[in-house]
Amino acid sequence: MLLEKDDLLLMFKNLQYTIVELKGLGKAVEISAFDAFDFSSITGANYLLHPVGISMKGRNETFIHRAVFQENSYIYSPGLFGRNELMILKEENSADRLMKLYPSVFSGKKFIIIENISKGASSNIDSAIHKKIEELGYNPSDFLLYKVFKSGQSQESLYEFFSANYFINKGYIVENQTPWFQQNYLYKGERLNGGIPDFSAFKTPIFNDLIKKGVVTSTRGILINKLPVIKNFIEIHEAESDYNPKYELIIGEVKSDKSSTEQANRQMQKYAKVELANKIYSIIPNCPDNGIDLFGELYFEKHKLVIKNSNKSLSVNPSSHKVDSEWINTTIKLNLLGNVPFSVLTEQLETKYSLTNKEIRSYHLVDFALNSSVDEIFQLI
Amino acid sequence: MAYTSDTRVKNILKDIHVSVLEKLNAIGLGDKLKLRVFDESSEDGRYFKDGGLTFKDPYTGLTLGSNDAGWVYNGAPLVIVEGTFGTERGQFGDGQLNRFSHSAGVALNGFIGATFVPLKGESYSKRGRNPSNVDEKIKIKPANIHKGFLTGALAISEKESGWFLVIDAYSTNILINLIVESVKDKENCHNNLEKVINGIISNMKKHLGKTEYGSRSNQLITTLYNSNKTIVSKRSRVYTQNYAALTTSTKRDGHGMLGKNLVEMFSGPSDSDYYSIFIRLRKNDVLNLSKRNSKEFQYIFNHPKVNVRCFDDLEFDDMLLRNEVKSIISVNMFQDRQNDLIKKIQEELNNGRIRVN
Repeated sequence: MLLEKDDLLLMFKNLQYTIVELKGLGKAVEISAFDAFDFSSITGANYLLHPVGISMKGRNETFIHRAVFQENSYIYSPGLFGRNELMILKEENSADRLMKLYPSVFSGKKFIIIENISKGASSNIDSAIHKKIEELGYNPSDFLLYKVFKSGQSQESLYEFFSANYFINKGYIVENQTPWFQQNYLYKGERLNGGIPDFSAFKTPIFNDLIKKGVVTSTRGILINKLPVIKNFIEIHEAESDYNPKYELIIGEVKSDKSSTEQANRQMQKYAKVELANKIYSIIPNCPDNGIDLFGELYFEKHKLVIKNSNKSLSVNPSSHKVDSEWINTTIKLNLLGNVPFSVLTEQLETKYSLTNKEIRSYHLVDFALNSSVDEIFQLI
Repeated sequence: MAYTSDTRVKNILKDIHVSVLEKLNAIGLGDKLKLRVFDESSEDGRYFKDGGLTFKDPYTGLTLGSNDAGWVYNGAPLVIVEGTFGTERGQFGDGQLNRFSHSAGVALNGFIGATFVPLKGESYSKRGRNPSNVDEKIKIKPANIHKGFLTGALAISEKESGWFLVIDAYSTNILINLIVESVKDKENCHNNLEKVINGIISNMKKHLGKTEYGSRSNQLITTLYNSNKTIVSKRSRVYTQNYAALTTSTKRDGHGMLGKNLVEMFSGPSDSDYYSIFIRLRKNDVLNLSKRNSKEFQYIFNHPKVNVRCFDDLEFDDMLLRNEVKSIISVNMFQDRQNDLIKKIQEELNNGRIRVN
């Protein structure tokens, strides 16, 4: 679906964001730093705090495949945490480091400006826009740049953002870089291959521990990318809660146009075969009916996101849910460790594993996350 | 979408740019440098002169792999970087060569191309070793930078006008210094560019060690004969991929094959042509591959020093061996490696009992 700047502005307006007219820059979306972080993390939109443009996308990588598809092995990769040449654990994208490098990301009001990129034109316009903003007397750090490609490319992540917004407001943790299986997975005698879901929303019982620290509420979830930096946005505080959600996994396959519905359907059918997701949706802006009863739809009608649920239940495997639930909990705890001052974290690892700081490896970190409670982690923040 | 190395690499390279500018601003050179980087990889594939990050092979005019970011001085390439975290995401072997052509293209054009990759990696894997004192769900497999990658990069740096440097992705300060010193060099300021480059080359040699390239390979050919029983090559290779492996996008064997061709062509004797001998392809397969529009096949079919040969181009003295080779064309070699047979083919090629037409 060919998207124009005006379409996008209307989509934001329908989510109750204010559209403002900025002298010299035209219409822009006014957005809180809290929500802007989600927008950048999902779409890759650059903050113009530097002429080169800085994005928050892909900064919380921990596990790259789901344990349930890897014989319950944890497939970790650096990203949120780094290492040095000798494989000793280092900071990379922790809350403290990002605050030090890019403090403006975490406070103040932001504006998303939307620029069309014509077919064949170069998209690295960030420094030119940065300069223009500066010349107009604005502070570039208050701006994010979203590029609408007239070729139609790169729009899927935009629909992931709107879907994330929907499910966060329904009390889910969401992510748009969904670990799945690597190349293929043997399940019930069939070798399944190809495809990684674009989007997921989930809950496990650990969600209640996050409510008790004021990170989420029973009706307001969070983008997982925000967990490692949550202390930069909110005051951690104690809260009462006896919410007890069961494991639930929702996945979505995103296409930017209904002409790709068949392809989306083939992928969703593959995802359903592993009997893990409770619900699967196609997320295609102009496709109100994907033609398969088992799968729901998210789509836009008059620039407003609409959800249609399937009235049929997907087949699920309870033992897979058990494995996946523990893996999700570890993922959440690893992400929360991003908030712990790195020196405090290394001290903990040194003590727990009887190490010097030149011996701390990523596997100590993963094991620490696996064996610590949410409450224990928050005590270190 | 899934996590990719690309996003992380580009984030790190942008963070590096911020540090580079801090250093250059301190000496009044901050306005001399631009970083060319794109949010989406699709734009990397444009030629540098058209605003992208891709270079042509100057010898053939053919397109080589695209890069992730480039520092540009006065509109010209200064340091162009291709980054990957493959060595800690399950790339243990030849898969690493998929990216060899990217920095090669930069160096062949006389500029500094740097591949930014963990030289030592550890990939988490269900088949890995469980480190002591941690949960059994945690298993890791070590990976090292491919020695062929380093061999080829060093050979290109030595023989060509540019530099093909391989820098540890966790040694960000080395890349920062390389860029800063390059700017100072262009500005005719006192600089340590030579020292920084020598340090990188020395580290590459340290990681390469004393291993002689291909000494343990059963596919590398050091004396290849033609039907007149004349030696036509001192460095060639037997390739065992079949048509499906070379043309299925998920297998990406075509990328690795190009990398291997480049590594061996540049690191081999300069007076020798290179033969890519595809023992599991027939004439028709080769014809079909040559018609494909991929840069990998276009490169090997059109490079003046690369000669592609298939099963039908081989002359065997031992007809039983010929039949045996013919019989493995449809075998799944992932499950049945055929190591003894490949070793036998290597011996027969090296001693001229199998010859190329």
